[in-house]
Amino acid sequence: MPPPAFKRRYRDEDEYLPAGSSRPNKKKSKISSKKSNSATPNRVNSEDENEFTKEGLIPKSAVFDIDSLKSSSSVNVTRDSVSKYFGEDDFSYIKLKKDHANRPLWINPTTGHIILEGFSPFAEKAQDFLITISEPVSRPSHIHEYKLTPYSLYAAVSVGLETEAIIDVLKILSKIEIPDSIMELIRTCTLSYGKVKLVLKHNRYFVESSYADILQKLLQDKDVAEARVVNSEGSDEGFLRNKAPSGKDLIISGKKVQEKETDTDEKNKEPETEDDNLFNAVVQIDKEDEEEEEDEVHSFEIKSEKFEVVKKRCIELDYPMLEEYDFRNDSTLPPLDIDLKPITVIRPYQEKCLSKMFGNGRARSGIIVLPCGAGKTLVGITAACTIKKSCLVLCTSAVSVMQWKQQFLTWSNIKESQIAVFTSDMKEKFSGQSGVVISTYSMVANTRTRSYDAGKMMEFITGREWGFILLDEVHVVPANMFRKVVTTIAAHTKLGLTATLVREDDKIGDLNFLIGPKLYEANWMDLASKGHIANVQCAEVWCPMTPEFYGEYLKATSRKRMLLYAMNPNKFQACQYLIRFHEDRGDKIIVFSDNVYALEKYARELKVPFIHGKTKPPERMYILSLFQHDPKVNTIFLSKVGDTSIDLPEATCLIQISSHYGSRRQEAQRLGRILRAKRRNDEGFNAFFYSLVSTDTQEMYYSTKRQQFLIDQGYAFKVITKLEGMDTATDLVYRSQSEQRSLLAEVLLASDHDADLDNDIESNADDLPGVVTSRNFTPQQRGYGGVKRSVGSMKSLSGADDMAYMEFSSGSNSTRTMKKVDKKTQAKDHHPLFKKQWLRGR
Amino acid sequence: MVKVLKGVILKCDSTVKQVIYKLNERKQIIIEDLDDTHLFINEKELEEVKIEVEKLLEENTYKTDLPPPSDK
Repeated sequence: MPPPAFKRRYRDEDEYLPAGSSRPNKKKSKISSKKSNSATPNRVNSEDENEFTKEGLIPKSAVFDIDSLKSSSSVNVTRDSVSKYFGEDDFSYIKLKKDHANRPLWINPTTGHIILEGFSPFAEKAQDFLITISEPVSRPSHIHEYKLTPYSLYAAVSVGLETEAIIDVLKILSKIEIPDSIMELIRTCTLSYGKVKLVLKHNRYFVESSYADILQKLLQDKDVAEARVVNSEGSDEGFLRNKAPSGKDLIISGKKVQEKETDTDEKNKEPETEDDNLFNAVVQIDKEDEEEEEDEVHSFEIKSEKFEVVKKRCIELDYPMLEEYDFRNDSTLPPLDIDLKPITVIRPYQEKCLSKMFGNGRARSGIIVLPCGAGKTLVGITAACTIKKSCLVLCTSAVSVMQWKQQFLTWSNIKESQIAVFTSDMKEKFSGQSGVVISTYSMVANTRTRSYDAGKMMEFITGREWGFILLDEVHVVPANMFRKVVTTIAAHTKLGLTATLVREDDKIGDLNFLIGPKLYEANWMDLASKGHIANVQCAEVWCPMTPEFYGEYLKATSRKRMLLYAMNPNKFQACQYLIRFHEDRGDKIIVFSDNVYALEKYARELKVPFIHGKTKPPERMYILSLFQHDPKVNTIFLSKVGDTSIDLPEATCLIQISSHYGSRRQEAQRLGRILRAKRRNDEGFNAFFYSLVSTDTQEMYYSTKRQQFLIDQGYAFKVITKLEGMDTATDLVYRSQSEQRSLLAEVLLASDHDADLDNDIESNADDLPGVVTSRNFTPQQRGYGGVKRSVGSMKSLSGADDMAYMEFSSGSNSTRTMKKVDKKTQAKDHHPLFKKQWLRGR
Repeated sequence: MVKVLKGVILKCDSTVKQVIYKLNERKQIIIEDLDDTHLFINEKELEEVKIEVEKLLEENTYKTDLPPPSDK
């Protein structure tokens, strides 16, 4: 027992730790401990030291802390000279396995974070596994961080992993014994999830489970029992609650899994080489996944009109159902003759997504996350070709509707007459029994009175059953619109596609439940290194404000401020300099500016064509084709119309001069413009992404915030404080003070309206709130002082960030107090099913 | 009668200079504007200037929920 004085002192020191500093510290501790462990015997010594401590030989530096002993329940924690830096996250008591050097990951026993060595030979296999069972938090090139969450485990179960399999593989991969707390988390989370499936086959709904007792349990519930179709006796709905639980209640259908359905799935399935224990283990999971189907499966039928009720009820009962569609045994829905063209080859990661989706020969609903430019569309089309039933594609704007149609025609052998487009301008129907309809969310979810044609079209859509519904850019659609879409349209499988599961508002809701679990999330860095998307060098260029501009900036209103920092003459020069530099290298450059006033000003000054919301379509096409084909036009200026809908594979360099506040999604989408660069496969090719930022302004804040998403994906932003050679460069604009003054005067004269970001694009009836092009992209973000900003990403919703809704405010609130608030609201807002887990996880 | 003011020469970049000018509107801080990067300011106001400048720079800094790890 140490003298109390000591104890007191150390506690104090712990208390001095900054509120949120635990995570990076912890990470560090792990990394450092690993290094010393594998490389030098130093660490062993220190552990020996700890041993001594226990035996009573207390070195001066080490003090046994009873408090931490209590908190970490019966674990012997020894403290040494550096313990205080780690606080609660001192895990030196965890024993490493003997051959830990060969194993790639650690697990944090208190938070469920998993740290993976990205350089380990097994990392790739481990990654596949980790993506399935946990949420990626941050994936730079060497050390990856994942987090186990109830949601992610739910997703894991839904793709067919079993509790014991998860634990076994973790045991093999982990450098340490799996902590009991994690075991418990996995067990409790996988206990009820995914055990029950709602299967649609032969056009009847079946509740299916390999565990008869769970079905019995469900039948105890009144609502479920009522919905059940009773085969033998007459339907005595009244007292089904006491129905005798016997074998004849359950239709036992032991069924074999047939081989994979399409050749596209088949041909890319390479036989796994089983050259190592570890690999075996991971591969085995896939097998078990299939074997599971061969086990006996118990099921009972429910009335199709009641399936919504049953579904809801099951969630309440803690047995959320997975929806599966047995499309090969569906004889009533007319098949659609669609297949990929023979020349179409899908990439390994796309195949991986699809194998997650069609893992057991049936189609699962879910979300696939792939970076922009990585071929989300093709994944969607391949899925449609696999299911071969009528398909409804929903996207965010009329422009992408046309792009989808084009892609369908390019990649698959579908006839043009079988693709119909439904937008405010075009209302087509496909000929024949089945086909593809492409529309926008708002067209389908619209509740207002429609034109006669549109009404007819809606009848056409709602009046039939769809084998497959594809939801593009799923992150932009608010939950209520989704619910509307999902309930009005009878679809058997739902697939959501997105690049960035982040939103700047909190409307992402329980996407998991509306569509399904996240089936796959690609690693950007990985795709870049394999050449599927371009390598990008990201840089933030700091442009100091000129004194005159800054003086005005300090006085100006928040809206005017934006104009001032966008029009900063130094930024102007930096932009001009970069354009010149990259044009000389032979790059094709896109310059983005959200601010139309700045856009026009820059473009006119630099004599470069520009496109913004008011540019007429013919002119747009003309400018775009100039950019694509004319060697003299190497640069164009785009407003936010170019964020998503304009596809320019020629572009290799991107300069951003003004942006939409701190929208991380916009940043990612803009980056996506150059990810698909045509020249990406040239050796040593790099695309460039510059963000010009006026120093000492709000822009600095926004810029850093915007980068967070990409940083988590492993991108590094270089900060360029001074562009080499810019001082000596001649004939840059606004060199002289008098020119700068006149520019300033001009800017000050510009009306507030010009500073407004949203006057750019006429909001289109088809566009959604939340789409960049729509008027009310984020109306609540106006102004600075009282801005309240909340961020929701799938990651954080699922608890991977320790909080679901972060609030950023410029006020004096410390992150600590915010966290508390968030925790409370989170617990309240969270789905009842996960509330328990959520609270427990903390 | 001679009035004596104790002053401090402040070296700053041009933006901070603008910030101080802004503060100067409320209260007499600047004694002499020397050049682009130097100001001669009233010593009594030094602390307040420091605080204000710090506050402004803080405002434009984005913080994640995890502060960067302390240097070690």
